[in-house]
Amino acid sequence: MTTKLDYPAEPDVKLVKAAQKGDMVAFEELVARHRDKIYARAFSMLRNEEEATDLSQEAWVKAWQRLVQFQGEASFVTWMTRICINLCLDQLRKQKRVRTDSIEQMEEEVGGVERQMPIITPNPTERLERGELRQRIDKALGQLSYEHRTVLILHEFEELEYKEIAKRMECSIGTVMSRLFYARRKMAALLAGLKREELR
Amino acid sequence: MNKEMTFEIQAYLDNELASEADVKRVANLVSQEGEASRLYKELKETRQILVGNELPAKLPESGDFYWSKIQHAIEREEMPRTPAHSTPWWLRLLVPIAGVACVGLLLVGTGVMTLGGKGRSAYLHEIETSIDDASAISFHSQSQGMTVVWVKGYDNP
Repeated sequence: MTTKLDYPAEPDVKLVKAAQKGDMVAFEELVARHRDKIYARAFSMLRNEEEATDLSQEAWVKAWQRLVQFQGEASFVTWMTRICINLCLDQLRKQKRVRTDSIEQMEEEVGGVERQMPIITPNPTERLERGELRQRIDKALGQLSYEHRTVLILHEFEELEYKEIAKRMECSIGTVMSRLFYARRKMAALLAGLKREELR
Repeated sequence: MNKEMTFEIQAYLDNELASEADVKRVANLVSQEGEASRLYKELKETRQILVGNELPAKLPESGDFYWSKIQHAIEREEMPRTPAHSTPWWLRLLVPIAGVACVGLLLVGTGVMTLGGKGRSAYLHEIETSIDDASAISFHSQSQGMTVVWVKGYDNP
């Protein structure tokens, strides 16, 4: 005899098990729980609402199709975020191929103006409301190239190691180190610059 | 400070240095050398600002609408696979069996016609038919065990 699920009250693990057996209502509940987080990750990488919405939906469809492969090594939302990140990276690579970017590409690898920059202290201890700080960080992230933004997102927000980032971004560990270094330096400069702008 | 050194300072911060010896060496550099120390501080503070401070984003459309699109996409993806799965196994097995049976019947029929006697064989060697709207010519080769029928309409000579 099967027990009826109280979907909103069940933990993810139980919903995933039900969805793996074809229970679409359980899957719908998982989507409702995590749709904002998955969309947010797609948006942070793509910086475009429409693309982020479409791509996050595609990620959910892929997740349904691959649900049997989910063994629970990580949490469901972590697994789901990884699917979304991979789709974003594919999309960004496609867009990158279309752009002409010889100088930009060179700067990604060896650093642009940030290579010559003096060392900056962005002063994280200043009294800023969390919401305000987040807005400022988001604005600065939006000014980075996609390689720099992606490497920061994967390292600082997704907490991936260099090796894992290199695998996902299809580049060497050396390139990851270089991108992360210049991304951080640029971010420090942008945050300091935004602070100066606000003081004016 | 060269590029490699700056990357090492960052790897030290991220706990990504390969060996204990490297950790000790870079730790010494950071504690004793002014520029290395300042760079380490900048990288560390930038990291501290970022971690846990990602701006949360909310889906720009209603949850129901979002789900309905996902559901339709899933159903669309699964549609071509559904008929194959719903067909019973014995019915799926019947198709190739029926095919093999047809070929067998054809071969048996051809064999009966070929071995059915001298007169019949001679009669089947070449047949020419003429009807009002069309004409057909058939040819049977005993040595090849093959029959060819050619149908020709008056509209298409």
